[in-house]
Amino acid sequence: MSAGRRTLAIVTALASVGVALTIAAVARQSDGTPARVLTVDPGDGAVLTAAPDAVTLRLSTGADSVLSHVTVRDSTGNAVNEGRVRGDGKTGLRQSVRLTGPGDYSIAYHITFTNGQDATGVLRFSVGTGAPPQGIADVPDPILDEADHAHGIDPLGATLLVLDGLALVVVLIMLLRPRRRSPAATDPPTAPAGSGHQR
Amino acid sequence: MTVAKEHAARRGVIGAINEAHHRAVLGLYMIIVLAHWAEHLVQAYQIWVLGWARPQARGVLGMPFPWLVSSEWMHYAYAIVMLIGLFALRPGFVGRARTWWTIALAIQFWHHIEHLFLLIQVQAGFLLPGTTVPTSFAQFLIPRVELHLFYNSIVFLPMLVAMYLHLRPNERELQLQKCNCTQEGRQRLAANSGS
Repeated sequence: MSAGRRTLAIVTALASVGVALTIAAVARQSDGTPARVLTVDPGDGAVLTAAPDAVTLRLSTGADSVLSHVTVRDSTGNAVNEGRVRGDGKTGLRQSVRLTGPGDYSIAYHITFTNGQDATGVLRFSVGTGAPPQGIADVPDPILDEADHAHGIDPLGATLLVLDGLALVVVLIMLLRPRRRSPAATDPPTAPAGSGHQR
Repeated sequence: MTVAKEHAARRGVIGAINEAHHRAVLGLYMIIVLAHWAEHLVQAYQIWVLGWARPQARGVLGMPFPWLVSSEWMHYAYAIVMLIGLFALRPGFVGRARTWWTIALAIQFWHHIEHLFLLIQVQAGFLLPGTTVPTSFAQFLIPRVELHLFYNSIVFLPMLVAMYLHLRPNERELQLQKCNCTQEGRQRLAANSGS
């Protein structure tokens, strides 16, 4: 096979892989009914007499616990989570909490489902007050620590990415420039020595 | 059997991909590296230009397949593929290009050790003292640095230099090269296979 045909075959194979991945990605994103949160325990507006030790969510499909967040806060906005959210069965998540005392609490969640869909929501409940929660107006984002994703992106990494891009452009420009070669450089090494070319 | 084929057969797969197929395999390897780089660039665009929340900024393939972003195994596998590629394609480099390629190999080797260390923490369920998430050695020096992105970015630069010097060798390096990455190399291989 000639070099040109080999290159064409490689490009065709890579393009095919790209098209297949795109189709798979689109098919997966439009896959059936939207994923959603079925229930949260404690539920929205719940009036509890005893503090729960965890918040659990039942989902319509599996979730990626690494990319999902459930944050419980007291009425002053302090998070009362204990550790990170973990899977609870095939289609559930469980966030352990340590509630600090009677009062109103909020639950903010961001769920990344295994099919790539996302869901967010906010609920409120009270513990030991005997009244529905009413004191919490604004509930912050559920993500407590933006750096907890080991494979996300940070400002240093983004800067390095841009530097890489600039270096790539410089190298490509340099490669596009015509080469300066001595006539000898074009000769195969099998040419007999002393053929008159300068080395 | 021609001289070139005899030589390639003697050296096996490594010999073949560093001589008659170096250009194709190196090209494929660079496509993988650039696709990975582009995915992270899209991620950065989603965060800082589109203003998406970080867990939702998952590049292109990470949107339908979140495990590509969250799986520790996946990132370890990528680090291994990169390491194997750097190791397997190194014999085809000569002179200054080989020096830069070796620098990239050394950085990637350490990157792989870091990933292995993270993977062990995830699998064994232990954390280093004073940490709340699996932590790499680099994160002790630069807190909150994203390990995977940091190492892949700094490996990329010596790789680029090596690639440039490999495609633009000086005359001494040109004589040492045995692969088909330059026009002279292709002529030499064709001359050998025709002899």
